[in-house]
Amino acid sequence: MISAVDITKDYWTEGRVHRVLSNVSLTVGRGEKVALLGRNGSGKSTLIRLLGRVELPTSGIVEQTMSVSWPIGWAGGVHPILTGNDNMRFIARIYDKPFDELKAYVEDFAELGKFLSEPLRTYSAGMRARFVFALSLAIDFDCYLIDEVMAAGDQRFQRRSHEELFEKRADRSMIVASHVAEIVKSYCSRALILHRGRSKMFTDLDLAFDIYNDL
Amino acid sequence: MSDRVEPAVIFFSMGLPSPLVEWCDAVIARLVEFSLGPVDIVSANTLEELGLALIKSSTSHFVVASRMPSDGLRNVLTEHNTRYVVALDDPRAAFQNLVTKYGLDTIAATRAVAGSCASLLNYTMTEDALVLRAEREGRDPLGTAQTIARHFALDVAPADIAQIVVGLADISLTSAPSDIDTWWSDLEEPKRVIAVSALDGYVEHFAGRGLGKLIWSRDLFFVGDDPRQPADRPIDITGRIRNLVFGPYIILPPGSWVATVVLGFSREAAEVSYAIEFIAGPRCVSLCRTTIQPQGDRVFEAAVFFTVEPATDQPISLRISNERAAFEGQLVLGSVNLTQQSRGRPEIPDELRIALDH
Amino acid sequence: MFWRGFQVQRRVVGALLIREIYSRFGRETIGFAWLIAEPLVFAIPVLFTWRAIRNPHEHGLPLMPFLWSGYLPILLFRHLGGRALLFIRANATLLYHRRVTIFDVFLGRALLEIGGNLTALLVSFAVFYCIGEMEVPKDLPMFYLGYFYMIWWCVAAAMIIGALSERSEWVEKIWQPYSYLYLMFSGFFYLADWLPLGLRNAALYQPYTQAYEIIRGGIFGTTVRTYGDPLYTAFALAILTVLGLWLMHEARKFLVLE
Repeated sequence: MISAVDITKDYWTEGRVHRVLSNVSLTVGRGEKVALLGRNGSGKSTLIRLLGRVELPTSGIVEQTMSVSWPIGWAGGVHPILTGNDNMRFIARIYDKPFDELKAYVEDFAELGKFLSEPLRTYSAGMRARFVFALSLAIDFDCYLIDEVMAAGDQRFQRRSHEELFEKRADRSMIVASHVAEIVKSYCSRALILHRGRSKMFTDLDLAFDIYNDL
Repeated sequence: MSDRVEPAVIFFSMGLPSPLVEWCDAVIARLVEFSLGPVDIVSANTLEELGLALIKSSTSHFVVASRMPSDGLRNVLTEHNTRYVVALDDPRAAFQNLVTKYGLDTIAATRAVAGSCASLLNYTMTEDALVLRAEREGRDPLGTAQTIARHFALDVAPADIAQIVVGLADISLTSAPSDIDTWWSDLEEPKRVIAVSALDGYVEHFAGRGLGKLIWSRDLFFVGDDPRQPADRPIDITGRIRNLVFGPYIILPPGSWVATVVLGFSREAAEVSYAIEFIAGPRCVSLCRTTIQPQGDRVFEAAVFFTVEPATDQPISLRISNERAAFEGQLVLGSVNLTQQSRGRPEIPDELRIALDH
Repeated sequence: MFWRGFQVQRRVVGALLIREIYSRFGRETIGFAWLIAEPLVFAIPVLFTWRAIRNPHEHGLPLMPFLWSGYLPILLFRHLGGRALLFIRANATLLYHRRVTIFDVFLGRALLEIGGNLTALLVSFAVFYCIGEMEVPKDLPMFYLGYFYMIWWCVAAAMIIGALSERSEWVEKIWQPYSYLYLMFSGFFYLADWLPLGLRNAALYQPYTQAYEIIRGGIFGTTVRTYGDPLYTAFALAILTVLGLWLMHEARKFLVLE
């Protein structure tokens, strides 16, 4: 279970307070898939960071009793100077997973071959996206944070990503921050709309998208 | 009594739903029975309803009791110089009658009396009408019964008339003003306000001072499309484009009207735009439609102009809907004030007519 | 916060340390050498210059050991403090990994600097020893203790600086002038014995002055009078450390990312 209870987040810039999130609450149980809908500036990225414990809320509580992934598909977790192998070693050590297993999975999934011993900054955008996505799936989490992903790679890779995430891991929890109605409606049972820092939960996904599209 | 089939004769008894008109219905029926033969009291407001009632019935003569007679009916009556009786009373007495005797709730009673007043407005104008007033004729049952008999040219002996009147003595035609006042002051404030504000304009009219302002309180409206939820509290606008407020489904007299719709908005709701529409009848014929954008104003007053055509005869409703899906916010209806601008169609100024004709 | 296996933390800090090394110095070993060389490149010329323009003895003390024991801690303070500025926001995304705490991140970076500094300490000592400018410290355990306190002070200070820099942009602005002024008042240039009484007492409240006193006490033994108080210093540094840890934990409320 992950829960954010009555979260408020303020930022101070140039002496003025800017309230980014205001009394936001969200609970995701085991196996539940919840969508996060919000335009730029709605506080969506901030909420994801709060759920990942990167930032602390100004008030309110974030609790986790499940293991939570970093935002899947997001490239901020890898260091560009390090090679693919180095990055994998780092992750393997942090999560106590045998390096060989991890490497085998990533090699097979991302199909980067020799590039794994090259620094990440030499990768093309597509390659980096594939690497990062593969790395995300190499560790088993109870809950996956998914942030606007799945645009990387060719059709085959996309299909495979889809399969790995939504089929093989169908019993996991997911928090999906996405605009794409098809994915959300197919897999999520609820949607949280964020608008100017305020949140509302909807169990009717069609209604949620109707409202979201008009925001 | 003869066995021949007699041509049907129809007698019209109209009025506000107060004891007076019920007495009239009964008196006319007895008078007809005495002079012509078996009679049935049917209830009909429109030509269609009248037609149906006649076909279904098996007697020869009818008293048509109408509380909201239509304009169409009036046109036909006027055309054929048919005589009728209009029984007027203080609208408040009619309201009281509906609530105490028939157990109607405030909203239904208001709707019925307001509709009745609106319908009868033009019925008092013609020569064919015998207008009875509770405070005048209501005090003299015998004299009134005689007047009615004369009006309809019914040949009934005075002694029989007296007997009829005595037989109906248990229906009181009028209440003492003090009784009405007592009952009204005992009525709970919110209900009293709803009824009085909707009916006061008509009280003015029947007193000869012209049609006053009609105020429709928010209790007469309901939320969305659900008649069970009155719009007397803040309404959450979260959701798709849809009706937020609807009602009150009350007949208005023909003419040009200006409605002032007062709405209150929460901060978020004030940023959405809304459509305000007046519609007529069950088929929701649009009389006018306007869009408002509060743009941050928390209280908004919209003036909406519309025309009720003669022979519309349809109850009028207001419909407020959001024009975009809304994430959050609340809207509250203040009130709807209606003022009649003129009694007929709006006139086109000469210069415009000339310009349009070219 | 810290009730996890020590093993886990060791692995995490180790992984962070390696990551830090590779990211700062690349994968070539020459990069790593710079870690040690950089402080030496500053220290050795400076020290030789001082030596050249001054008497070999000042205040009755051999100059070289005095300066050497003074300057390398300055470098440590500058490096740890300077690199602590805004380090949280620069590495905040590492916190997505649940096992990684902000303290781990800090420790990884700090260990690197400390390692470099200690190596530079050793190398520079070797150089000066070989040319006869310096001797082995008279009271070696005391010297170790003093330097240990010095490292502890720099770490605690860095935690506080790093955490506070997220809260206010003033910290970054003040850092430069402060680190220069630090040269004067920290004890680099003086022994507490040289100060007038009032100033001396005030100075001895500062953990850095204490650390210097203990270090100098270790180097010169009983030939000078030092006022180091190990007990008080440990106490003061413990308080500062707790403050630093708490501030770092809370700093996540004040991060401005994006």
